[in-house]
Amino acid sequence: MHALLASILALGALAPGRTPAFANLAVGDPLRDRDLAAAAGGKAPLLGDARASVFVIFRTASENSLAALRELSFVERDYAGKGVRFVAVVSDADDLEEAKALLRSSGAKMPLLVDRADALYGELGVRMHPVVGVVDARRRLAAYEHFRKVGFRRIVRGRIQVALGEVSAAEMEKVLAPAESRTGDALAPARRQVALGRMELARGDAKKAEESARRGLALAPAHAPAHVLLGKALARQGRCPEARAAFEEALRIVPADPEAGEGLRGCSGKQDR
Amino acid sequence: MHAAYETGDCALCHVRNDPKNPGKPSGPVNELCFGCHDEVRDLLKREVVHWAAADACTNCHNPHGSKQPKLLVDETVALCTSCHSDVGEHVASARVKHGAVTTGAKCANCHNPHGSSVEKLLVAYPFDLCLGCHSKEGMRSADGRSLANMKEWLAQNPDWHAPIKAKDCSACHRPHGSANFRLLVATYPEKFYAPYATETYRLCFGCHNERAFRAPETTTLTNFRNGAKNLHFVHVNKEDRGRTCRACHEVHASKQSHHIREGVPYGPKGWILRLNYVKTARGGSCAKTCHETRSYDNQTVVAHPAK
Repeated sequence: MHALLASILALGALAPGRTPAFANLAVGDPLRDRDLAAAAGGKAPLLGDARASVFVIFRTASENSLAALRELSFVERDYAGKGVRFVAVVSDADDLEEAKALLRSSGAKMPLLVDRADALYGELGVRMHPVVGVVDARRRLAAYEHFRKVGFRRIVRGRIQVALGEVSAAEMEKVLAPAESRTGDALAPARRQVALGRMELARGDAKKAEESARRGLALAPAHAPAHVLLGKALARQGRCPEARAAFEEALRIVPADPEAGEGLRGCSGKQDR
Repeated sequence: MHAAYETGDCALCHVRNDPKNPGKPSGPVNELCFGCHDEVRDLLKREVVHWAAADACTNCHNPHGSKQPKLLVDETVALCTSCHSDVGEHVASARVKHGAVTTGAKCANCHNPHGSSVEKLLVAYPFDLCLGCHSKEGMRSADGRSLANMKEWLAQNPDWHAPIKAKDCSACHRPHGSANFRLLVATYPEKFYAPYATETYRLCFGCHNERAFRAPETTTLTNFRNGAKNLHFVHVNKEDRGRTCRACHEVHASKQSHHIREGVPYGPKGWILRLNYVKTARGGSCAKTCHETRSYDNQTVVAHPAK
Protein backbone atom coordinates (compact mmCIF):
# COMPACT_ATOMS: atom_id res chain seq x y z
CA MET A 1 0.00 0.00 0.00
CA HIS A 2 2.81 2.40 0.87
CA ALA A 3 4.48 1.59 -2.43
CA LEU A 4 1.22 2.27 -4.26
CA LEU A 5 0.71 5.59 -2.51
CA ALA A 6 4.30 6.57 -3.19
CA SER A 7 3.91 5.81 -6.88
CA ILE A 8 0.68 7.79 -7.06
CA LEU A 9 2.38 10.73 -5.37
CA ALA A 10 5.20 10.39 -7.87
CA LEU A 11 2.65 10.52 -10.68
CA GLY A 12 1.14 13.59 -9.08
CA ALA A 13 4.51 15.25 -9.29
CA LEU A 14 4.65 14.42 -12.98
CA ALA A 15 1.17 15.72 -13.71
CA PRO A 16 1.04 18.74 -16.00
CA GLY A 17 1.64 22.04 -14.28
CA ARG A 18 -0.98 24.04 -16.16
CA THR A 19 -4.16 24.44 -14.16
CA PRO A 20 -7.11 23.19 -16.19
CA ALA A 21 -8.91 26.14 -17.72
CA PHE A 22 -10.79 27.36 -20.73
CA ALA A 23 -8.75 27.39 -23.93
CA ASN A 24 -8.72 31.20 -24.02
CA LEU A 25 -9.10 32.10 -20.33
CA ALA A 26 -6.83 30.87 -17.57
CA VAL A 27 -7.55 30.74 -13.86
CA GLY A 28 -6.66 34.19 -12.49
CA ASP A 29 -7.51 36.01 -15.72
CA PRO A 30 -10.08 38.82 -15.58
CA LEU A 31 -13.46 38.13 -17.12
CA ARG A 32 -15.52 40.98 -18.52
CA ASP A 33 -19.14 41.00 -17.47
CA ARG A 34 -21.71 41.23 -20.22
CA ASP A 35 -25.45 41.03 -20.63
CA LEU A 36 -26.85 37.91 -22.20
CA ALA A 37 -30.38 37.21 -23.36
CA ALA A 38 -32.40 35.69 -20.53
CA ALA A 39 -34.62 32.76 -21.35
CA ALA A 40 -37.29 34.35 -19.15
CA GLY A 41 -37.17 37.51 -21.29
CA GLY A 42 -35.01 40.61 -21.42
CA LYS A 43 -31.35 40.52 -20.56
CA ALA A 44 -29.32 39.58 -17.50
CA PRO A 45 -25.66 39.90 -16.62
CA LEU A 46 -23.37 36.88 -16.75
CA LEU A 47 -21.66 37.82 -13.47
CA GLY A 48 -23.50 40.67 -11.75
CA ASP A 49 -22.56 42.05 -8.36
CA ALA A 50 -21.95 39.10 -6.12
CA ARG A 51 -19.31 37.87 -3.71
CA ALA A 52 -18.79 35.07 -6.21
CA SER A 53 -20.45 34.19 -9.50
CA VAL A 54 -20.87 30.66 -10.76
CA PHE A 55 -21.80 30.00 -14.36
CA VAL A 56 -22.38 26.62 -15.92
CA ILE A 57 -22.28 26.16 -19.67
CA PHE A 58 -24.31 23.13 -20.64
CA ARG A 59 -25.96 21.46 -23.62
CA THR A 60 -29.30 19.86 -24.20
CA ALA A 61 -29.61 16.13 -24.92
CA SER A 62 -26.65 15.52 -22.64
CA GLU A 63 -26.71 13.12 -19.70
CA ASN A 64 -23.66 14.81 -18.25
CA SER A 65 -25.35 18.20 -18.41
CA LEU A 66 -28.37 16.94 -16.52
CA ALA A 67 -26.14 15.27 -13.94
CA ALA A 68 -24.04 18.41 -13.53
CA LEU A 69 -27.09 20.65 -13.11
CA ARG A 70 -28.53 18.26 -10.53
CA GLU A 71 -25.30 18.38 -8.53
CA LEU A 72 -25.16 22.16 -8.83
CA SER A 73 -28.74 22.46 -7.61
CA PHE A 74 -27.50 21.22 -4.21
CA VAL A 75 -24.63 23.70 -4.16
CA GLU A 76 -27.05 26.45 -5.20
CA ARG A 77 -29.24 25.58 -2.21
CA ASP A 78 -26.23 25.61 0.12
CA TYR A 79 -25.47 29.17 -0.94
CA ALA A 80 -29.00 30.56 -1.12
CA GLY A 81 -29.02 34.08 0.32
CA LYS A 82 -25.26 34.12 0.80
CA GLY A 83 -24.28 36.45 -2.03
CA VAL A 84 -23.28 33.79 -4.54
CA ARG A 85 -24.87 34.11 -7.96
CA PHE A 86 -25.55 31.07 -10.15
CA VAL A 87 -26.47 31.20 -13.84
CA ALA A 88 -26.83 28.51 -16.47
CA VAL A 89 -25.79 29.30 -20.04
CA VAL A 90 -26.80 27.47 -23.18
CA SER A 91 -25.98 28.15 -26.82
CA ASP A 92 -28.71 29.47 -29.08
CA ALA A 93 -27.86 26.51 -31.31
CA ASP A 94 -29.57 24.33 -28.68
CA ASP A 95 -33.34 24.11 -28.42
CA LEU A 96 -34.33 26.71 -25.83
CA GLU A 97 -37.47 24.91 -24.66
CA GLU A 98 -35.46 21.73 -24.23
CA ALA A 99 -32.83 23.66 -22.26
CA LYS A 100 -35.51 25.12 -20.00
CA ALA A 101 -37.00 21.67 -19.41
CA LEU A 102 -33.57 20.19 -18.63
CA LEU A 103 -32.80 22.94 -16.13
CA ARG A 104 -36.22 22.57 -14.52
CA SER A 105 -35.91 18.80 -14.20
CA SER A 106 -32.51 19.16 -12.53
CA GLY A 107 -34.05 21.02 -9.61
CA ALA A 108 -31.77 24.02 -10.15
CA LYS A 109 -33.42 27.42 -9.72
CA MET A 110 -30.73 29.52 -11.40
CA PRO A 111 -31.66 31.76 -14.33
CA LEU A 112 -31.05 30.48 -17.85
CA LEU A 113 -29.08 32.73 -20.20
CA VAL A 114 -28.59 32.28 -23.93
CA ASP A 115 -25.22 32.57 -25.63
CA ARG A 116 -26.05 34.02 -29.03
CA ALA A 117 -23.88 32.79 -31.91
CA ASP A 118 -21.58 31.09 -29.37
CA ALA A 119 -19.99 34.45 -28.59
CA LEU A 120 -19.18 33.62 -24.94
CA TYR A 121 -18.29 30.05 -25.91
CA GLY A 122 -15.76 31.29 -28.45
CA GLU A 123 -14.35 34.04 -26.24
CA LEU A 124 -13.68 31.63 -23.39
CA GLY A 125 -12.66 28.74 -25.61
CA VAL A 126 -15.03 26.15 -24.19
CA ARG A 127 -13.81 22.68 -25.11
CA MET A 128 -15.37 20.48 -22.43
CA HIS A 129 -18.88 20.70 -21.15
CA PRO A 130 -20.81 20.87 -19.01
CA VAL A 131 -18.30 23.22 -17.45
CA VAL A 132 -18.40 25.53 -14.47
CA GLY A 133 -16.57 28.82 -14.06
CA VAL A 134 -16.28 30.39 -10.62
CA VAL A 135 -15.55 34.12 -10.70
CA ASP A 136 -14.52 36.01 -7.59
CA ALA A 137 -15.60 39.48 -6.43
CA ARG A 138 -12.75 41.04 -8.42
CA ARG A 139 -14.19 39.37 -11.51
CA ARG A 140 -11.26 37.07 -12.02
CA LEU A 141 -11.71 33.44 -12.97
CA ALA A 142 -11.14 31.74 -9.63
CA ALA A 143 -11.82 28.19 -10.76
CA TYR A 144 -12.64 26.07 -13.77
CA GLU A 145 -14.32 22.71 -13.34
CA HIS A 146 -15.61 20.58 -16.15
CA PHE A 147 -18.05 17.90 -15.11
CA ARG A 148 -16.70 14.82 -13.42
CA LYS A 149 -18.76 11.81 -12.49
CA VAL A 150 -17.29 11.46 -9.04
CA GLY A 151 -16.90 14.34 -6.60
CA PHE A 152 -18.28 17.14 -8.77
CA ARG A 153 -20.57 18.68 -6.14
CA ARG A 154 -18.01 18.59 -3.40
CA ILE A 155 -15.26 20.01 -5.56
CA VAL A 156 -17.37 22.85 -6.98
CA ARG A 157 -18.51 23.69 -3.44
CA GLY A 158 -14.87 23.74 -2.39
CA ARG A 159 -13.91 26.00 -5.29
CA ILE A 160 -16.61 28.47 -4.27
CA GLN A 161 -15.41 28.34 -0.67
CA VAL A 162 -11.89 29.14 -1.82
CA ALA A 163 -13.15 32.03 -3.98
CA LEU A 164 -15.01 33.40 -0.94
CA GLY A 165 -11.98 32.96 1.29
CA GLU A 166 -13.85 30.47 3.47
CA VAL A 167 -11.27 27.72 3.06
CA SER A 168 -7.58 27.76 2.24
CA ALA A 169 -5.92 26.24 -0.80
CA ALA A 170 -4.43 23.62 1.53
CA GLU A 171 -7.88 22.61 2.75
CA MET A 172 -9.02 22.42 -0.87
CA GLU A 173 -6.21 19.97 -1.56
CA LYS A 174 -7.80 17.63 0.99
CA VAL A 175 -11.02 17.80 -1.00
CA LEU A 176 -9.18 17.01 -4.21
CA ALA A 177 -7.15 14.20 -2.64
CA PRO A 178 -8.99 12.86 0.41
CA ALA A 179 -7.49 10.19 2.61
CA GLU A 180 -8.16 6.67 1.39
CA SER A 181 -11.08 4.92 3.06
CA ARG A 182 -9.71 1.50 3.88
CA THR A 183 -11.17 -0.55 6.68
CA GLY A 184 -8.49 -1.14 9.21
CA ASP A 185 -4.85 -0.19 9.23
CA ALA A 186 -2.02 -2.63 9.83
CA LEU A 187 -2.55 -2.47 13.60
CA ALA A 188 -6.31 -3.03 13.53
CA PRO A 189 -6.21 -6.84 14.04
CA ALA A 190 -3.93 -6.42 17.04
CA ARG A 191 -6.12 -3.65 18.47
CA ARG A 192 -9.14 -5.94 18.18
CA GLN A 193 -7.40 -8.64 20.19
CA VAL A 194 -6.52 -6.10 22.84
CA ALA A 195 -10.09 -4.82 22.97
CA LEU A 196 -11.40 -8.37 23.32
CA GLY A 197 -8.84 -9.10 26.02
CA ARG A 198 -9.85 -5.99 27.96
CA MET A 199 -13.47 -7.15 27.94
CA GLU A 200 -12.39 -10.60 29.12
CA LEU A 201 -10.32 -9.07 31.88
CA ALA A 202 -13.22 -6.85 32.90
CA ARG A 203 -15.36 -9.96 33.15
CA GLY A 204 -12.74 -11.56 35.41
CA ASP A 205 -11.23 -14.02 32.95
CA ALA A 206 -7.54 -13.17 33.19
CA LYS A 207 -6.44 -16.36 31.47
CA LYS A 208 -8.46 -15.59 28.34
CA ALA A 209 -7.29 -11.98 28.47
CA GLU A 210 -3.71 -13.25 28.53
CA GLU A 211 -4.41 -15.39 25.44
CA SER A 212 -5.93 -12.42 23.61
CA ALA A 213 -2.93 -10.26 24.51
CA ARG A 214 -0.56 -12.90 23.21
CA ARG A 215 -2.54 -13.18 19.96
CA GLY A 216 -2.31 -9.40 19.64
CA LEU A 217 1.44 -9.48 20.19
CA ALA A 218 1.83 -12.24 17.61
CA LEU A 219 0.20 -9.85 15.13
CA ALA A 220 2.09 -6.74 16.25
CA PRO A 221 5.03 -7.38 18.59
CA ALA A 222 5.62 -3.65 19.18
CA HIS A 223 2.01 -2.80 20.04
CA ALA A 224 2.38 -1.30 23.50
CA PRO A 225 -1.29 -1.69 24.54
CA ALA A 226 -0.97 -5.46 24.00
CA HIS A 227 2.04 -5.56 26.36
CA VAL A 228 0.07 -3.54 28.92
CA LEU A 229 -2.88 -5.93 28.63
CA LEU A 230 -0.55 -8.90 28.97
CA GLY A 231 0.96 -7.33 32.09
CA LYS A 232 -2.46 -6.72 33.63
CA ALA A 233 -3.68 -10.24 32.80
CA LEU A 234 -0.53 -11.79 34.29
CA ALA A 235 -0.68 -9.58 37.38
CA ARG A 236 -4.30 -10.57 37.92
CA GLN A 237 -3.12 -14.20 37.89
CA GLY A 238 -0.47 -13.37 40.45
CA ARG A 239 2.43 -13.77 38.01
CA CYS A 240 4.12 -10.50 38.90
CA PRO A 241 7.67 -11.13 37.59
CA GLU A 242 6.23 -11.91 34.14
CA ALA A 243 3.82 -8.98 34.41
CA ARG A 244 6.70 -6.63 35.26
CA ALA A 245 8.54 -7.73 32.12
CA ALA A 246 5.44 -7.02 30.06
CA PHE A 247 4.96 -3.55 31.60
CA GLU A 248 8.66 -2.75 31.14
CA GLU A 249 8.44 -3.75 27.49
CA ALA A 250 5.40 -1.45 27.06
CA LEU A 251 7.36 1.40 28.68
CA ARG A 252 10.33 0.71 26.44
CA ILE A 253 8.02 1.23 23.44
CA VAL A 254 6.02 4.13 24.92
CA PRO A 255 8.07 5.57 27.82
CA ALA A 256 5.23 7.73 29.15
CA ASP A 257 2.50 5.06 29.00
CA PRO A 258 0.54 5.77 32.21
CA GLU A 259 -1.16 2.36 32.37
CA ALA A 260 2.16 0.55 32.06
CA GLY A 261 3.68 2.77 34.72
CA GLU A 262 0.77 2.13 37.06
CA GLY A 263 0.93 -1.60 36.39
CA LEU A 264 4.64 -1.67 37.07
CA ARG A 265 4.17 0.14 40.38
CA GLY A 266 1.41 -2.28 41.31
CA CYS A 267 3.72 -5.24 40.75
CA SER A 268 6.74 -3.66 42.34
CA GLY A 269 8.39 -5.95 44.84
CA LYS A 270 5.77 -8.65 44.44
CA GLN A 271 6.72 -12.22 43.67
CA ASP A 272 4.74 -15.00 42.07
CA ARG A 273 1.88 -16.29 44.14
CA MET B 1 -15.55 -18.00 13.48
CA HIS B 2 -15.74 -14.66 15.23
CA ALA B 3 -13.02 -14.38 17.87
CA ALA B 4 -15.51 -13.10 20.45
CA TYR B 5 -17.83 -16.06 19.79
CA GLU B 6 -14.92 -18.44 19.93
CA THR B 7 -14.23 -17.49 23.53
CA GLY B 8 -17.52 -19.16 24.47
CA ASP B 9 -18.32 -16.21 26.69
CA CYS B 10 -21.73 -15.18 25.33
CA ALA B 11 -21.91 -12.31 27.82
CA LEU B 12 -19.20 -10.47 25.94
CA CYS B 13 -22.05 -9.39 23.64
CA HIS B 14 -25.27 -10.76 25.17
CA VAL B 15 -27.08 -10.13 28.42
CA ARG B 16 -26.45 -13.68 29.71
CA ASN B 17 -23.53 -16.06 29.57
CA ASP B 18 -25.74 -19.01 28.78
CA PRO B 19 -25.13 -20.59 25.37
CA LYS B 20 -28.64 -22.06 25.41
CA ASN B 21 -30.28 -18.79 26.30
CA PRO B 22 -27.91 -15.84 25.83
CA GLY B 23 -30.75 -13.34 25.51
CA LYS B 24 -30.64 -10.14 23.54
CA PRO B 25 -27.46 -8.16 22.84
CA SER B 26 -26.28 -6.26 25.88
CA GLY B 27 -26.33 -2.95 24.01
CA PRO B 28 -26.88 -1.38 20.61
CA VAL B 29 -25.42 -3.81 18.07
CA ASN B 30 -23.05 -1.41 16.36
CA GLU B 31 -21.72 -0.07 19.66
CA LEU B 32 -20.91 -3.63 20.71
CA CYS B 33 -19.01 -4.19 17.47
CA PHE B 34 -17.16 -0.87 17.72
CA GLY B 35 -15.84 -1.97 21.10
CA CYS B 36 -13.28 -3.96 19.14
CA HIS B 37 -13.72 -2.70 15.57
CA ASP B 38 -13.02 0.94 16.35
CA GLU B 39 -11.84 1.72 12.81
CA VAL B 40 -15.37 1.15 11.50
CA ARG B 41 -16.74 3.75 13.90
CA ASP B 42 -14.27 6.23 12.35
CA LEU B 43 -15.33 5.27 8.82
CA LEU B 44 -18.97 5.84 9.70
CA LYS B 45 -18.08 9.44 10.57
CA ARG B 46 -16.93 10.19 7.02
CA GLU B 47 -18.93 12.26 4.51
CA VAL B 48 -20.41 9.26 2.72
CA VAL B 49 -21.92 6.55 4.90
CA HIS B 50 -23.38 3.21 3.86
CA TRP B 51 -26.89 3.06 5.27
CA ALA B 52 -26.70 -0.69 5.83
CA ALA B 53 -23.59 -0.34 7.99
CA ALA B 54 -24.90 2.60 9.98
CA ASP B 55 -28.14 0.70 10.62
CA ALA B 56 -26.62 -2.54 11.91
CA CYS B 57 -23.38 -4.38 11.27
CA THR B 58 -25.46 -7.55 11.30
CA ASN B 59 -27.10 -6.51 8.04
CA CYS B 60 -23.99 -7.83 6.33
CA HIS B 61 -21.99 -9.71 8.98
CA ASN B 62 -22.82 -12.76 11.05
CA PRO B 63 -21.37 -12.05 14.50
CA HIS B 64 -21.01 -15.75 15.30
CA GLY B 65 -19.37 -17.20 12.23
CA SER B 66 -19.53 -17.58 8.48
CA LYS B 67 -18.02 -19.54 5.64
CA GLN B 68 -17.46 -16.21 3.89
CA PRO B 69 -14.49 -13.93 4.52
CA LYS B 70 -15.04 -11.04 6.93
CA LEU B 71 -17.92 -12.99 8.48
CA LEU B 72 -20.17 -11.85 5.65
CA VAL B 73 -23.62 -13.37 5.55
CA ASP B 74 -23.26 -14.17 1.85
CA GLU B 75 -20.71 -14.14 -0.97
CA THR B 76 -19.66 -10.51 -1.55
CA VAL B 77 -21.23 -9.83 -4.96
CA ALA B 78 -24.41 -11.70 -4.02
CA LEU B 79 -24.63 -9.77 -0.76
CA CYS B 80 -24.10 -6.34 -2.29
CA THR B 81 -26.40 -6.96 -5.24
CA SER B 82 -29.15 -8.27 -2.98
CA CYS B 83 -29.84 -4.56 -2.40
CA HIS B 84 -28.01 -3.04 -5.37
CA SER B 85 -29.90 -5.17 -7.85
CA ASP B 86 -29.44 -2.69 -10.70
CA VAL B 87 -25.68 -3.12 -10.41
CA GLY B 88 -26.11 -6.89 -10.24
CA GLU B 89 -28.12 -6.91 -13.43
CA HIS B 90 -25.62 -4.63 -15.11
CA VAL B 91 -22.66 -6.82 -14.10
CA ALA B 92 -24.43 -9.99 -15.25
CA SER B 93 -25.54 -8.64 -18.61
CA ALA B 94 -22.46 -6.61 -19.57
CA ARG B 95 -20.88 -7.76 -22.82
CA VAL B 96 -17.46 -6.56 -21.69
CA LYS B 97 -16.59 -7.62 -18.14
CA HIS B 98 -14.27 -6.00 -15.63
CA GLY B 99 -12.15 -8.46 -13.67
CA ALA B 100 -12.05 -6.17 -10.64
CA VAL B 101 -15.72 -6.90 -9.95
CA THR B 102 -15.31 -10.64 -9.61
CA THR B 103 -11.77 -11.19 -8.31
CA GLY B 104 -9.98 -10.44 -5.05
CA ALA B 105 -12.17 -8.49 -2.67
CA LYS B 106 -14.72 -8.02 -5.51
CA CYS B 107 -16.98 -5.01 -4.80
CA ALA B 108 -14.70 -4.09 -1.91
CA ASN B 109 -11.77 -3.71 -4.31
CA CYS B 110 -13.12 -0.25 -5.04
CA HIS B 111 -15.88 0.46 -2.50
CA ASN B 112 -15.71 0.64 1.25
CA PRO B 113 -19.00 -0.80 2.44
CA HIS B 114 -18.84 1.17 5.69
CA GLY B 115 -18.06 4.76 4.82
CA SER B 116 -15.86 6.92 2.67
CA SER B 117 -14.69 10.43 1.88
CA VAL B 118 -15.60 9.95 -1.77
CA GLU B 119 -19.09 9.55 -3.18
CA LYS B 120 -20.34 6.12 -4.22
CA LEU B 121 -18.42 4.86 -1.17
CA LEU B 122 -15.27 4.68 -3.27
CA VAL B 123 -12.09 3.98 -1.35
CA ALA B 124 -10.43 6.80 -3.31
CA TYR B 125 -11.02 8.78 -6.50
CA PRO B 126 -11.26 6.52 -9.56
CA PHE B 127 -7.80 7.39 -10.91
CA ASP B 128 -6.11 6.29 -7.68
CA LEU B 129 -8.15 3.11 -7.59
CA CYS B 130 -7.66 2.20 -11.24
CA LEU B 131 -3.91 2.71 -11.13
CA GLY B 132 -3.79 0.40 -8.15
CA CYS B 133 -4.10 -2.42 -10.69
CA HIS B 134 -3.37 -0.82 -14.07
CA SER B 135 0.21 -0.17 -13.18
CA LYS B 136 1.94 -3.33 -14.27
CA GLU B 137 3.02 -5.04 -17.46
CA GLY B 138 1.26 -8.06 -18.86
CA MET B 139 -2.26 -7.31 -17.69
CA ARG B 140 -4.99 -8.68 -19.88
CA SER B 141 -8.65 -7.81 -20.18
CA ALA B 142 -11.38 -10.37 -19.57
CA ASP B 143 -11.41 -11.07 -23.33
CA GLY B 144 -7.65 -11.56 -23.45
CA ARG B 145 -6.54 -8.20 -24.86
CA SER B 146 -3.28 -6.76 -23.63
CA LEU B 147 -3.74 -3.78 -21.32
CA ALA B 148 -1.31 -0.89 -21.07
CA ASN B 149 0.71 -0.13 -17.98
CA MET B 150 -1.18 3.11 -17.46
CA LYS B 151 0.97 4.33 -14.61
CA GLU B 152 4.08 4.11 -16.76
CA TRP B 153 2.32 5.68 -19.75
CA LEU B 154 1.14 8.64 -17.70
CA ALA B 155 4.57 9.08 -16.16
CA GLN B 156 6.11 9.28 -19.63
CA ASN B 157 3.48 11.52 -21.19
CA PRO B 158 2.83 14.81 -19.38
CA ASP B 159 -0.11 16.14 -21.40
CA TRP B 160 -3.02 14.37 -19.73
CA HIS B 161 -6.57 14.23 -21.02
CA ALA B 162 -8.85 16.37 -18.84
CA PRO B 163 -10.76 13.47 -17.21
CA ILE B 164 -7.46 11.96 -16.13
CA LYS B 165 -6.36 15.25 -14.61
CA ALA B 166 -9.71 15.20 -12.80
CA LYS B 167 -9.00 11.64 -11.57
CA ASP B 168 -12.19 10.61 -13.30
CA CYS B 169 -11.50 7.42 -15.26
CA SER B 170 -15.24 6.79 -14.94
CA ALA B 171 -15.85 9.67 -17.36
CA CYS B 172 -14.93 7.23 -20.13
CA HIS B 173 -14.90 3.74 -18.57
CA ARG B 174 -17.68 1.88 -16.84
CA PRO B 175 -16.12 -0.14 -14.04
CA HIS B 176 -19.01 -2.57 -13.54
CA GLY B 177 -19.00 -3.69 -17.17
CA SER B 178 -20.08 -2.28 -20.49
CA ALA B 179 -21.66 -3.00 -23.83
CA ASN B 180 -18.71 -1.22 -25.44
CA PHE B 181 -15.14 -2.37 -25.93
CA ARG B 182 -12.58 -1.28 -23.31
CA LEU B 183 -15.46 -0.81 -20.86
CA LEU B 184 -16.26 2.50 -22.55
CA VAL B 185 -19.33 4.28 -21.27
CA ALA B 186 -20.63 4.98 -24.76
CA THR B 187 -19.91 4.29 -28.40
CA TYR B 188 -16.55 4.96 -29.98
CA PRO B 189 -15.23 3.42 -33.23
CA GLU B 190 -13.17 0.30 -32.62
CA LYS B 191 -11.16 0.72 -35.84
CA PHE B 192 -8.66 3.36 -36.87
CA TYR B 193 -10.83 4.60 -39.76
CA ALA B 194 -14.58 5.04 -39.56
CA PRO B 195 -17.18 6.99 -41.49
CA TYR B 196 -18.31 9.93 -39.41
CA ALA B 197 -21.59 9.79 -37.56
CA THR B 198 -22.47 11.49 -34.30
CA GLU B 199 -23.87 8.21 -33.01
CA THR B 200 -20.50 6.45 -33.23
CA TYR B 201 -18.76 9.08 -31.08
CA ARG B 202 -21.14 9.26 -28.13
CA LEU B 203 -18.18 8.70 -25.81
CA CYS B 204 -16.33 11.83 -26.90
CA PHE B 205 -19.46 13.92 -27.28
CA GLY B 206 -20.34 13.31 -23.66
CA CYS B 207 -17.93 16.20 -23.00
CA HIS B 208 -16.93 17.60 -26.38
CA ASN B 209 -19.32 19.47 -28.64
CA GLU B 210 -20.38 17.48 -31.69
CA ARG B 211 -20.98 20.78 -33.50
CA ALA B 212 -17.22 21.28 -33.46
CA PHE B 213 -16.95 18.28 -35.79
CA ARG B 214 -19.88 18.69 -38.11
CA ALA B 215 -19.66 22.44 -38.82
CA PRO B 216 -17.51 22.99 -41.96
CA GLU B 217 -16.74 26.50 -40.80
CA THR B 218 -16.54 28.07 -37.35
CA THR B 219 -14.69 30.78 -35.50
CA THR B 220 -15.79 29.71 -32.03
CA LEU B 221 -16.13 25.94 -31.65
CA THR B 222 -12.49 24.91 -32.11
CA ASN B 223 -9.08 26.49 -32.54
CA PHE B 224 -8.10 23.68 -34.92
CA ARG B 225 -9.04 25.70 -37.96
CA ASN B 226 -7.40 27.51 -40.78
CA GLY B 227 -9.14 30.84 -40.62
CA ALA B 228 -12.74 29.69 -40.33
CA LYS B 229 -12.17 26.35 -42.05
CA ASN B 230 -12.84 23.70 -39.41
CA LEU B 231 -10.01 21.15 -39.65
CA HIS B 232 -11.71 18.72 -37.28
CA PHE B 233 -14.54 18.58 -39.80
CA VAL B 234 -12.03 18.04 -42.62
CA HIS B 235 -10.35 15.11 -40.85
CA VAL B 236 -13.34 13.18 -39.57
CA ASN B 237 -15.97 13.79 -42.22
CA LYS B 238 -14.95 11.22 -44.81
CA GLU B 239 -17.18 8.47 -46.05
CA ASP B 240 -14.62 5.66 -46.22
CA ARG B 241 -11.47 6.63 -44.32
CA GLY B 242 -12.75 9.14 -41.81
CA ARG B 243 -10.04 9.67 -39.20
CA THR B 244 -11.14 8.65 -35.76
CA CYS B 245 -9.95 10.71 -32.78
CA ARG B 246 -7.12 8.25 -32.18
CA ALA B 247 -5.61 9.06 -35.58
CA CYS B 248 -4.24 12.28 -34.10
CA HIS B 249 -4.88 12.15 -30.35
CA GLU B 250 -3.64 9.93 -27.56
CA VAL B 251 -6.75 9.49 -25.50
CA HIS B 252 -4.99 9.17 -22.16
CA ALA B 253 -1.86 11.29 -22.41
CA SER B 254 0.78 12.46 -24.83
CA LYS B 255 4.09 14.24 -24.90
CA GLN B 256 2.71 16.98 -27.12
CA SER B 257 0.00 19.51 -26.29
CA HIS B 258 -3.63 18.96 -27.28
CA HIS B 259 -2.97 15.24 -26.64
CA ILE B 260 -1.45 15.02 -30.13
CA ARG B 261 0.24 11.67 -30.57
CA GLU B 262 3.78 11.40 -31.87
CA GLY B 263 2.96 8.93 -34.60
CA VAL B 264 0.50 6.35 -35.82
CA PRO B 265 1.10 2.68 -36.58
CA TYR B 266 1.27 2.14 -40.32
CA GLY B 267 1.39 -1.02 -42.41
CA PRO B 268 1.35 -4.68 -41.38
CA LYS B 269 4.51 -4.37 -39.25
CA GLY B 270 3.20 -1.39 -37.30
CA TRP B 271 5.90 1.00 -38.54
CA ILE B 272 5.34 4.36 -36.86
CA LEU B 273 4.43 7.20 -39.15
CA ARG B 274 5.37 10.36 -37.28
CA LEU B 275 3.00 13.30 -37.29
CA ASN B 276 5.78 15.86 -36.73
CA TYR B 277 3.29 18.19 -35.11
CA VAL B 278 4.51 21.66 -34.25
CA LYS B 279 2.36 23.99 -32.17
CA THR B 280 2.40 27.72 -32.81
CA ALA B 281 0.74 30.56 -30.92
CA ARG B 282 -2.28 30.59 -33.21
CA GLY B 283 -2.18 27.18 -34.80
CA GLY B 284 0.39 24.62 -35.82
CA SER B 285 1.51 22.22 -38.50
CA CYS B 286 1.93 18.53 -39.27
CA ALA B 287 4.77 17.60 -41.60
CA LYS B 288 5.39 14.69 -43.96
CA THR B 289 2.80 12.53 -42.37
CA CYS B 290 -0.57 11.23 -43.59
CA HIS B 291 -0.35 14.21 -45.94
CA GLU B 292 2.31 16.66 -47.06
CA THR B 293 3.26 19.47 -44.68
CA ARG B 294 0.21 21.51 -43.72
CA SER B 295 0.04 24.55 -41.48
CA TYR B 296 -2.95 26.25 -39.99
CA ASP B 297 -3.58 29.57 -38.35
CA ASN B 298 -6.84 30.20 -36.56
CA GLN B 299 -6.63 33.96 -37.06
CA THR B 300 -5.58 34.27 -40.70
CA VAL B 301 -5.77 31.74 -43.49
CA VAL B 302 -2.64 29.78 -44.45
CA ALA B 303 -2.72 29.20 -48.18
CA HIS B 304 -1.86 25.72 -49.45
CA PRO B 305 -1.10 24.80 -53.02
CA ALA B 306 -3.85 22.89 -54.74
CA LYS B 307 -3.34 19.12 -54.82
